[in-house]
Amino acid sequence: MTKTIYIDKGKKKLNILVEDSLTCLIVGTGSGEKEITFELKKKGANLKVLGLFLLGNGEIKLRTIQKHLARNTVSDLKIKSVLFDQGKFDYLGRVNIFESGQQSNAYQQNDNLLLGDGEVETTPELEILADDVKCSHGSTTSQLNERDLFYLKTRGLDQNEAKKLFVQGFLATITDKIDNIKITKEIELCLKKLLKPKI
Amino acid sequence: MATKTFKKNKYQFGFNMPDTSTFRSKKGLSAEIVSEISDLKKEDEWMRNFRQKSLKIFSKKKMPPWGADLSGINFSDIHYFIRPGDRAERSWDDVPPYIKETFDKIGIPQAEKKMLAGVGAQYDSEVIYHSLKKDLEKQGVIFLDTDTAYRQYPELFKEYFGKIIPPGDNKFAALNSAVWSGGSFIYVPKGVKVKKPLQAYFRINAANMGQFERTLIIADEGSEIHYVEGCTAPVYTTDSLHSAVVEIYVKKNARVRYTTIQNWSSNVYNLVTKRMRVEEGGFGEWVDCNLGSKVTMKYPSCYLMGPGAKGEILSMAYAGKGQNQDAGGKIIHCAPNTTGRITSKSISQSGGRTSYRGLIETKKGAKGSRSKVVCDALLLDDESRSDTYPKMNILEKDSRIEHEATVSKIGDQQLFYLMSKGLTEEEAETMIINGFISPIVKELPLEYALEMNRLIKLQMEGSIG
Repeated sequence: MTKTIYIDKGKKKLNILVEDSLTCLIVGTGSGEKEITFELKKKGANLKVLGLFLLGNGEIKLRTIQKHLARNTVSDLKIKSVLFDQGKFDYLGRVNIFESGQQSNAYQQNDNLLLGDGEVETTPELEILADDVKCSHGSTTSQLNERDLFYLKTRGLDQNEAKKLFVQGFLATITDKIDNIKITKEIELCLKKLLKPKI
Repeated sequence: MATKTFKKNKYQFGFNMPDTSTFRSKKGLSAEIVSEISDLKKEDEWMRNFRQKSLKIFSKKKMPPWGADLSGINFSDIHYFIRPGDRAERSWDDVPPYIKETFDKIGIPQAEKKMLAGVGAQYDSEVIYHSLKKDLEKQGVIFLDTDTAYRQYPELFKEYFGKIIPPGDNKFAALNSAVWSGGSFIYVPKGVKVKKPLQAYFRINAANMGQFERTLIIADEGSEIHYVEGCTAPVYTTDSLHSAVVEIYVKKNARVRYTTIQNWSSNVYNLVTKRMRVEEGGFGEWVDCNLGSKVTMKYPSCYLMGPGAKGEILSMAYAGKGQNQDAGGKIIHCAPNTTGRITSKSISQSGGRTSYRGLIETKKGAKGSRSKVVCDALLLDDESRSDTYPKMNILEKDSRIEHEATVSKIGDQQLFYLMSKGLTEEEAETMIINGFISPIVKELPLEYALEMNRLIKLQMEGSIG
C-alpha cells in the first residue's frame, strides 16, 4: 500500500497506524508544516517512508515519529531536501522503540543539499527502551561539490545543466522508488522552475 | 539468546571519612551566606558584587525544562561552603593525615609518584594541596587553585573570569558563580609546551555538601597543555550536588586537552557547564568519561572562533541501576575552515539510562567548515534505555555536517566467536565492551586507562550466573 502526503495540504497532525506493510511518500514543494506519527502496532509490520522536499523560499517544518510497539517491526525512513534560495528546512525525526518492540529494526536517514542561502535545522532522535534491536540514524548537510560540477562542465554541460544533473542524482534514491507518474511529473516541473537561472 | 541480568557491584570507593571540616556554612542559600563566603575568603568588592549579582540571576532563572529529572534537588538542604584547612598548602608532608588516608584509598600517591607534573587535589570545598614541579614554575606556568590565583593575579584573572560562561548562561552556572570555591587556575605563557598532564582529584566528603569548583585555563599563543580531572567520591546517605564551571581559552595555534573521569557516587547530581573558546589555528579537545553519579548533565562545548580552529569531543558514558547519564557535546563553527568532531560511546545496563544530547551549529560566514558526529550505544538488557538527541543548525551553505548513530546489543555472533576461542561468556562480554570504548580509553593517560578497564571489569564481574 502506498500513501502520499503533501506537506501543505490537509491536517497538520497525522497519526498513521501501520498494520502490515506501508510505503508512505511525503512531498513538499512549498512552505508547509506536518507532524506525522507512525505506529507499528502489529507484529511484523513494515514501514517505508520516503520524503522529498524542494524549496526556493519559505519554510518547511516536518516532524516524523516512528513508534515501534510490537515485535519484529521494521521501519526505514529516508528524507531528502534541496534548498535553492533562502528556504528553511526544519526537521525533527524521532524513533521510539518501546519495551514491547523487541527484535525491531529502525533506520532513519536525512540528507540535505544547500544551494543558496538556506538554513537547515535537523534533529534526528532515538529513544530506545528494548535491547534486542537494531537502530541507526544518519544525517548529512552539504553543498554542491565544486569538483563534481567542474567535471560535468568539462563534459560539455553548462552550469545549470550540471546543477540539475547533480540535484537529480542526489534525489535519485527517492525518485527511483516513486511509481506515481503524476508525482514524478510534479517534481520534475518544480525542479525546472527552481533551477531556472535568475536574470 | 536470552537477555541476562547484570549485577551492579557494590560501589568501589564506598567509604566515608569522619567529617572534621573547620568551617561549614549553614544549609541553604541566601545573600548572607554568599557574603559570608566572601568574608571568609577576604574578597574585594569586585568578587563580592559578582557573587551577589549571580545569586540574583540564579533565583530568577528557571530549571531546565528538558533533560534529566532534577526534581530531587533541594537547594535549601545543601551546605554551600565547607573549608577543611585554612590555607592552600604546598608540600605533601603538610597535608593532614586523615586526608592522605582518603587519597591513599583512591591511589593518588601512586599516581603522584609516576609521571605527574603537578597535583592539585580538592578535598571538600577548597584546594588544600598543590605541588608543582620546579621546571613548570621556571617556564612561567601558573598552576594554582582558583582562590589563590584571584589574590595573586587579579588583573589576569578579571580579564578572563566569567567571560566564556557568564552567570546568566544557565541556572547552574549562576549558582556556581555565586558560591564557587576552589578549582584550578592555569596560565600557560606563549609558546610553552607542558609535556606532562597536569591533574587534580576532586572529592566530596561531607554529607549534604555541594561542590562548586571553578576552573579557568588560559593557553596563550602556541602553547600546549593537557589537564586531567578525576573524580571519585565516597558514598553518602543524602543527595549531593556538584555544579562546576570550566572555562578554557585556546589562543592562536595553542592546543588544550581537558580530560575528565567522573565517578561520583550514585547519589550525586552532577550538573556541569564546560566551554572552550578556540582561536585561529588552535585545537581544543574534551575527553569526557562519565561513570558515576545519579544524574549527569554535561555537554562540553567548543566555540571555534578563529579560522582553521579545531574542536574535538570524545564522550563516554556508563549508566547502571538508577543512573541517568545525559551527556554529549557542542561544536559551534563561527569562523571559516573550522573542523569539529564528536565521538560518543555509551553503555546502559540494569535499568540505567544514557542519552547523547548534542549540537552542531555553523554560523553564517563559517565557510568550508566541517563537522562529524558519531554516536554508538550499547544496551545490555531490556530494562535499560538509550536515547540520542543530536541537533544540527546549519546557516552556512558552504559547510559539511554529518551525523550518525547506532544502538545495538552485544552480538550473539561476536560472543560465539570469542567463546569458541576458549573465553568464558563473561570474559567475552568484557572484551567486547572494552573494544567498544577503546577509541576513547586509548586517549586517556596510562594510569587512567588502566583504572577505566578495571572499572569496566568490575561492573561485569559476577554478572553471569
